[in-house]
Amino acid sequence: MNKLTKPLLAYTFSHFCVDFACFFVLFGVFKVSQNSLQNVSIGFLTYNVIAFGLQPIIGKICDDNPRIPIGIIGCFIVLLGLFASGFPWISLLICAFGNASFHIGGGIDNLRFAKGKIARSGIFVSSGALGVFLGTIVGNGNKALVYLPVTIIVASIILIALFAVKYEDGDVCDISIASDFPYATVLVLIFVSIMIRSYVGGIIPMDWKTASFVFLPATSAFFGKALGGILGYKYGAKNIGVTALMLSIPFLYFGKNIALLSAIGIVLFNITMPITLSVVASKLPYNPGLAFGLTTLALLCGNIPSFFIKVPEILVFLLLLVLIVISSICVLLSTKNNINGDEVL
Amino acid sequence: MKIISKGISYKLLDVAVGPKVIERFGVGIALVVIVIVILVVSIVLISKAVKKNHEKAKYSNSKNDGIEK
Repeated sequence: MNKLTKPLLAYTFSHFCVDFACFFVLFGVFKVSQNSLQNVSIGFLTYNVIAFGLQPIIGKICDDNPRIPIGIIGCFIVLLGLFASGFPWISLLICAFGNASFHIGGGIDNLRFAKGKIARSGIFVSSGALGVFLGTIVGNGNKALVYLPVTIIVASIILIALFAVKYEDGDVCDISIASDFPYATVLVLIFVSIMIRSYVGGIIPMDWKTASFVFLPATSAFFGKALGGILGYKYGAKNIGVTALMLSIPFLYFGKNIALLSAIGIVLFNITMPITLSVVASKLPYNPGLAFGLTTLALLCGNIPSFFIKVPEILVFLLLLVLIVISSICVLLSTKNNINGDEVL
Repeated sequence: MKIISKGISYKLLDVAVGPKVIERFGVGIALVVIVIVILVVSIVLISKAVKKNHEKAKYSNSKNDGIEK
């Protein structure tokens, strides 16, 4: 096994565990302790603001001090949050901060050791969707199972301690899939594209959802993110990113009542995730932490409207169509093809 | 069940936590203000980082050119 594969697997597994633990706390500890849905909403929004909003700042600190073992520190903080489960708000706040720290650790590792390939970050980010899903299912009303997230977080700490690669001077991110537009233009385009993905992800209509298909959206997101990195490297990030987004529209439209079509749509829709991350990293090769953090800040910004505004059902598809087209244009302008390491226009 | 992008929607299993925030508008707005502050801080950090990355890339390119010559 390649010496960089073990840390990738360790971080990918840990990503699953950290998201599992955090969502266990959100649903198994926090939600059941609150007496109103408004409080639950405020709690979840607070969690989002900390977990996603703080990542650019933590990322920049880690870029300036690259020897900080932030991934393992994040796991320890999440563990502390689990031990504080008797105090739901405190547990939520600690877990959110631990989640932010861990993601920066994993993100830096996967961008810095990418060796020009975007597949690595795709694989790393993909496991989070499964962690979120299973953490929610297990956590829902089962606070007594808290030993489960504790166990897997301890396993994560051990794995990262054993396999994480230590930073050496000169380790920079060498992905190159950003277009030749100026820095600011590319970063704004990508920010908009990620915001749209985040917002649209929350409004996709799925009338087919039943208990038997409950796993489908999360597994589809998992495959989409993992595939995005692999296909983007092989066939060109721009080709794959734009094509996947445009193709996702009919599948999401006709998948409203058909689970299979919807699942394909979700896979296609999520394919751009590692591509947009890698574009930001291409423009900030000496700041992988900040690059990763910028993408999560965009996720947060795209997520906020759904806490305040409910789109009328009749407008959902029109909105979905317009936003995905705008997102495709953003990817088209900000990305270039770099097939197997060879630049292609 | 809307769990498309990680951490994006918590409407999972019919837990309606969407526009409920509006009912406690003050707290919601306070959180939005925090996000805007984070956004501004991030823009400052990014503009500094962009400059630094640009300089480092230039230095690295000129070093490579020197080696080639």
